[in-house]
Amino acid sequence: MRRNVAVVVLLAVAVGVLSTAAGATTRSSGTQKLTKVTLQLKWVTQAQFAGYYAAKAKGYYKAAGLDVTIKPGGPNIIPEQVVAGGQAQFGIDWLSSLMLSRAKGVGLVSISQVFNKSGLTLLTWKDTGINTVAKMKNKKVANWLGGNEFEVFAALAKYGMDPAHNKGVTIVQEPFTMDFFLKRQADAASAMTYNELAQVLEAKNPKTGKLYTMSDLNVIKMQAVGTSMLEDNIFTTSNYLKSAANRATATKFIAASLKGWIYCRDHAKDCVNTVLANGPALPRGHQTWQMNEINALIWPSPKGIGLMDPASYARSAKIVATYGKLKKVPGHEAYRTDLEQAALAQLSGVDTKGLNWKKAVVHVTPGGN
Amino acid sequence: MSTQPVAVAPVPRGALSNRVGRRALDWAPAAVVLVLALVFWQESIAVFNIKRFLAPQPSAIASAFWDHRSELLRAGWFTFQEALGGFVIGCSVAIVAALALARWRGVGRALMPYAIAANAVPIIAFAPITNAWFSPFDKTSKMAIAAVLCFFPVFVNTVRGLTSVRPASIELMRSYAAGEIDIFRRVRVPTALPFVFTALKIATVLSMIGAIVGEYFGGSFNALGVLIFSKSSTFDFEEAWAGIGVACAFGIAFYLAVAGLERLALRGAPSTEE
Repeated sequence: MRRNVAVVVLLAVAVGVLSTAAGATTRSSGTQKLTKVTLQLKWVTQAQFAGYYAAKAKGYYKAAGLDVTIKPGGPNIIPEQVVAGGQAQFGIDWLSSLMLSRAKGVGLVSISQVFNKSGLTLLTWKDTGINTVAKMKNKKVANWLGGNEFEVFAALAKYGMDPAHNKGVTIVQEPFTMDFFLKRQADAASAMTYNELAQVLEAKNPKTGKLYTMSDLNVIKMQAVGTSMLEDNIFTTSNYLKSAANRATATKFIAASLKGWIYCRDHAKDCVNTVLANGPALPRGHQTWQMNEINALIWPSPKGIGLMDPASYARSAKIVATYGKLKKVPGHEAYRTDLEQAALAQLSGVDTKGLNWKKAVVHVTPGGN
Repeated sequence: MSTQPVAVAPVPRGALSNRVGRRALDWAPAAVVLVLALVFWQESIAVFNIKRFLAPQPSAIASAFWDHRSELLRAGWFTFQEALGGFVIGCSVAIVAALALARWRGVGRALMPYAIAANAVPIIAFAPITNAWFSPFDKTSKMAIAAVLCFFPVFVNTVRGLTSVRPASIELMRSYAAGEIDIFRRVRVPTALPFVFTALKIATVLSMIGAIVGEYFGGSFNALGVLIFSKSSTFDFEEAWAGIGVACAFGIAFYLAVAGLERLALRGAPSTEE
């Protein structure tokens, strides 16, 4: 009898704990009138997500009536799964992952395509002479896989290799640090302009005692090869958007986030400080480089930040369909622009295009300090 | 007509057919549970409308396995080689260390704390380090992880086996003026064999785990761990589960192989069968 009571009490406590930990809801809290929402980032805290951190720090979310919790990502955290599972209302990930999840029946939709250019590159050492994708035949090419490989696979296939079956080229899954590339354990490494490239440049060349420079590397941009795809976008579940209240929340969220990105365009250093205040893994110098490179992926935004470019979308859809082995090419249903356009309308009077933005010259610091 | 109960003639122990018959019946309850579990899994997905990306139906997993069987089996074999290599290295080092410890007790006192420390190393933390020491794309980094995982159970059990000899046996050997090597060969090692094999069976499973977990942190495209991780990231959960099934199959086959070896090695020993 006593044991049964103990079990019941334990269960009640467990249920209580679980329900309070059940995550954000969209009900407005009576006293605060702020709608709680959660954003799941694609990766760890870094300047790649500066716009969202800035929107929170500068009070843009609060002004829009939102109480936003930002959840950093990491290895083995798939934003689509977090959002589809209800632990976050909004997520940041690449368009390719979104299309793959939709093809498997997960009802997600992209509501704002923040980055309009791809930051993915293939890095090789200049002294290997591999300065084009064509020269990567029969070489070892590294990528993180898990949905990040399509641009690289398409580039390799463009020059006659079959990366999906390891024919004509050897594909390896790269770890999250660039040590393997510094040790020349692969011939070509996938690298984002804003992250891994900087990690290489922040490392010391043992032969010279000085940092590696761009002249030591070939940086082959997927944007230049022509197989680039759209990357970071804000997405949510179609179910979430069924209610008008949620649609309004989503629009406000987009508007405040874009305002944060616009702030980071015009006040890059301030945004770096904001990111640093949130405890990123990599230090100031690295975040400064990253902020600059991320801005380069957003600005200029001729149509206005966040608006989907149909041509880029079509190219991305085709590449995902081929290498993600989808039965059909994803159509217009994978994204919607109505909320985005409403958000841009809320930002009238603000420069949402950044046509005059110029990329800064950032000095690389050892170890990214 | 005799109505007296007739005692059943004892079955000769070596009769193969009877052995198989008895074995098959032993497996029947487990087989029934397996079938029931699979049926329950299959039906509850449909009945409760569980989303595909949370748990696919066994039938979907089976068809995904069939569609990609060559890729999955090739990846399984690749990873198994890493597990096997690590198993051989880890167990050999462990057995040699245990032999040294049993022979020279001072060495044992020196080594034991480090063996315990080796066991306490969280393997997930160790994997990126071996990737840095060895190339993340070679098999050696994963073999290292598997070897570290296999070391402790085999070491501890072998030591236990070698030192849990009855004092009377040692005294008897000494009375025959047997040297240390003879004592080892005739008394300690045979006593230790059941312990060693128990540990080896544990190590087979651990080595497979070590190889796959290591591959989560970087590896060849041909590796099973990379495949499982990659497929689950791209929402191909049927394939990911099929990959997990292949990993289990290889682990079980490895375990059974060592168990079979145990049977052979311990044939002369007093029966320890359940």
